[in-house]
Amino acid sequence: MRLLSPLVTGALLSALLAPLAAAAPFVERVRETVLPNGLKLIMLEDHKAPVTVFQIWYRVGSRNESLGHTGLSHLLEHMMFRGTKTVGPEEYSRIIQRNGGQTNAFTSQDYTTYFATIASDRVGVVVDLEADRLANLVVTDELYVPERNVVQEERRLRTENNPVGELFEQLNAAAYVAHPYRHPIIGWMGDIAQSTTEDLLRHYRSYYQPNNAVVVAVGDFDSHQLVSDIERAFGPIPSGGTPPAVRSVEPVQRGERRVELRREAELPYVAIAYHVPNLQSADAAALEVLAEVLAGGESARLHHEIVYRRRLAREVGASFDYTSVDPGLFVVSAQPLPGQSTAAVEAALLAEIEKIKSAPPRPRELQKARNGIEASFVFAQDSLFYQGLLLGQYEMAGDWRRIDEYLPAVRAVTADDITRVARFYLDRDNRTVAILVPLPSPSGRRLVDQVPKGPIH
Amino acid sequence: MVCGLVLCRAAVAVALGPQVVQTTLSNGATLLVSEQHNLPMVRVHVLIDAGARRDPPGRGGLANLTADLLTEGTATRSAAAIKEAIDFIGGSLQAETGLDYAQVRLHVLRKDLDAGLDLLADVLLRPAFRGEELTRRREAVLAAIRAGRDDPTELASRAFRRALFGAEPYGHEVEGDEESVPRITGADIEAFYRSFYRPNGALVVVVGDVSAQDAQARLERHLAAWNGSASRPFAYPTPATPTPRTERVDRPVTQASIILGHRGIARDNPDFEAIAVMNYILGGGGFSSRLMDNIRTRAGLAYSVASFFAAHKAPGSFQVVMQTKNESVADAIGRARAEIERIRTEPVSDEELSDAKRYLTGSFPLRLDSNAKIADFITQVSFYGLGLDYADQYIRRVNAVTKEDVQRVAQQYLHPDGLIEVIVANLGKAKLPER
Repeated sequence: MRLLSPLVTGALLSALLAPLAAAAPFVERVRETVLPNGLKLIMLEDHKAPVTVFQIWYRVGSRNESLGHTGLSHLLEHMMFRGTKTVGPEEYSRIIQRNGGQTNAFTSQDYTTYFATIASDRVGVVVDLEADRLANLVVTDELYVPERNVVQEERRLRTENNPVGELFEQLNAAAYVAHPYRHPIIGWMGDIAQSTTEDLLRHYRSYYQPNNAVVVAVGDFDSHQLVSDIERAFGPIPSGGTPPAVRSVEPVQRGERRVELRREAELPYVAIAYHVPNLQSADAAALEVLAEVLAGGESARLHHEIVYRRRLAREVGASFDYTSVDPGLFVVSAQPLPGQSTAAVEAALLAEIEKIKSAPPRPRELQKARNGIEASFVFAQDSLFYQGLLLGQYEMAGDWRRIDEYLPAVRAVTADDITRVARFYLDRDNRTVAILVPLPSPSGRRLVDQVPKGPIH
Repeated sequence: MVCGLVLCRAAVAVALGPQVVQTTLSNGATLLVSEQHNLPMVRVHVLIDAGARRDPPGRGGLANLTADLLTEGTATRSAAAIKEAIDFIGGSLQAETGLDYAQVRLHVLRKDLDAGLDLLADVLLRPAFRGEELTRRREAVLAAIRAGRDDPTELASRAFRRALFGAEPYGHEVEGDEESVPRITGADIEAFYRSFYRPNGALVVVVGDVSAQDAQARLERHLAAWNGSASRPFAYPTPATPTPRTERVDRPVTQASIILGHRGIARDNPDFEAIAVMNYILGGGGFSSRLMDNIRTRAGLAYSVASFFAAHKAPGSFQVVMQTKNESVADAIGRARAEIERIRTEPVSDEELSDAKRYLTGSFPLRLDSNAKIADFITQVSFYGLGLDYADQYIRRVNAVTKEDVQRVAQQYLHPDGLIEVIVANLGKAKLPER
């Protein structure tokens, strides 16, 4: 992310929110158009406030990067604000703000998204600026070197100075051996430091093409008018080549992997990740309900048993990325209370997983999980931004229309389905366990800032 | 209030804020309802004048633990039963504590409004404060305080608060600290609850798919047993002026966290909007601000740098917050100080003034584009006495700000000679400014 934002806090978006559904089907409310150059437009009118959220999604993220060149998608996201042939550095943000709008961007494993929220009568300003930087970005050393330093500061903030952030980086790096989901989205420090303007321009030319982008607009606009504004601004941009496909397929894991991170920290942490499919699989809805049964609220199993009843951990969680482009991870995690060992907390997490494998959830527990998912779905539509996020995430994963399949699929999940997917996926041989082991400060090893010395470019 | 965002958007220019119906419940609580029928859900936020400023000396964290324990058991429900009941309807019921007030917030689907209100009333009126739950929550708060030490910016923020406010009511963290929290007893909590959880002075804010009349009838029914006279008004003691000082905390970090700041303003300060314009230009305006332009865009020294005035019932703080690698600490601080000095000594440009005003007025609808934001807006304007027409007043006042106003408030409310400077860094590696 380019700037810490109240809209999207937390780490770079990888699995931000559970998917949600709508009162009236999205397919009845959303309008889709594809321009001749391949740019797809997905528009949802919602007139509750005189505001429009305009997002442009590029199908490129850390998934499209290779070893030695990690972090390029995120670096390019930063450079998209450093100006074009006609717009000066950071002028993009100033123009949006001067028009009463707010803007930011984020990079995930699968996509890079730029968004602005603005009074509806000013949305044309955003359209013009986005079209300009899709076609006319300027990347020079003079602009790039300070921005590369900014991204290194961002990495220090999110990872080097954040023990749990660094642990999750290690977890991903161990859980995947062949697939680029092993890379940190922000990139390894050495790769960031050695990246060049040539790298960025190659990335830009490969992926920033109208045929590799999707516009999502949600809010108080007239679709016909917006389409004509977008055609005028984006229509003249020629379609580019087809970006290179990601060929990597993660092989089946055959045996538990363990990774330990020893560094200065106050409290330890335990994270356990299992390879699971995404919405392309019929099992995805059952995994979604499984995550809710395990960790949907303080009455759910992990919190009730491990935080409340046994007082082993201060917090627990279970997460699953329903809309990842390639198969992702089902992650169960906990931070032990002071004085509790990671071994005890790990054993407690695994015991809960064994429990759900051996006996299905009770009927009321299953109903509670479904109710929680359905209510979250309605609540999330309070926000224009999140409706856009939902449309974009589903589109990146295949087709925004599949949003409408989500709630029916969740409702159809049976207690036996949950036990079945837990047995199949939450298997010892399919897991990676990451443990944060706190070292006392300052007697432990000093942190080393791993930036190569000397001129880089 | 003539009309709201949903009912007649065409009239936005004359009435920007949400339409609100204000009444008084028979127990004395103020009820504020904003009907929003676009989604089948309702929020109910109850504000109690029981924030951390009410914590007795040496009992920092009492207000927070009291609010926290409301949802951990009542006369007839166990903690587990409360969680199960709210999770079963897919809703949320949470207590939150700030410096000035505490809130109990309910969010439910409309069909579950009565079930939700039943829970809300139970936790608000009949909390049990069982000893075993106090033990659990105290342990959890202490663990959270400890976990927060892994965040250098959080460490800096705690050090800054202590240095600025000292023993004043705003001088401790809402959750307390590792010395005060273990001292808090069940008797302290019972007494705090009895003193401050009174309907008189409470605000009940309802936003969502319910009519004002219906909301009133339901709340009268659910809160009928809540009574008691108003709690004693809060008086903030006359603040001492802390001497400018530097706090340095040695941590094995690769990036330093820095806070520069001093005493700020109260929320009802008549210069609030002029200060908002001034601060937008200085460091509140993201990439449009001078601090961001200087320290990030031009020098590449930081990912995040911003300034803000935290305005409370009593004067809060002014802060510049940034992170930079150990080696650049002195450079970044020098640049921040120079910008604070410059906005006091030179008039801002016409363009800066106009951009700031256009952003602050033009983005106002974005502050009201969800039910959650509408509820927070109503709560704050009511608690701080800004008037339910504040949205319109705000636009008018921002538009009236001149370059001279900006310079005047910069001189009046920014004190480069009185800055408290907190640096959390690897002090062996950091290039520090002269003391």
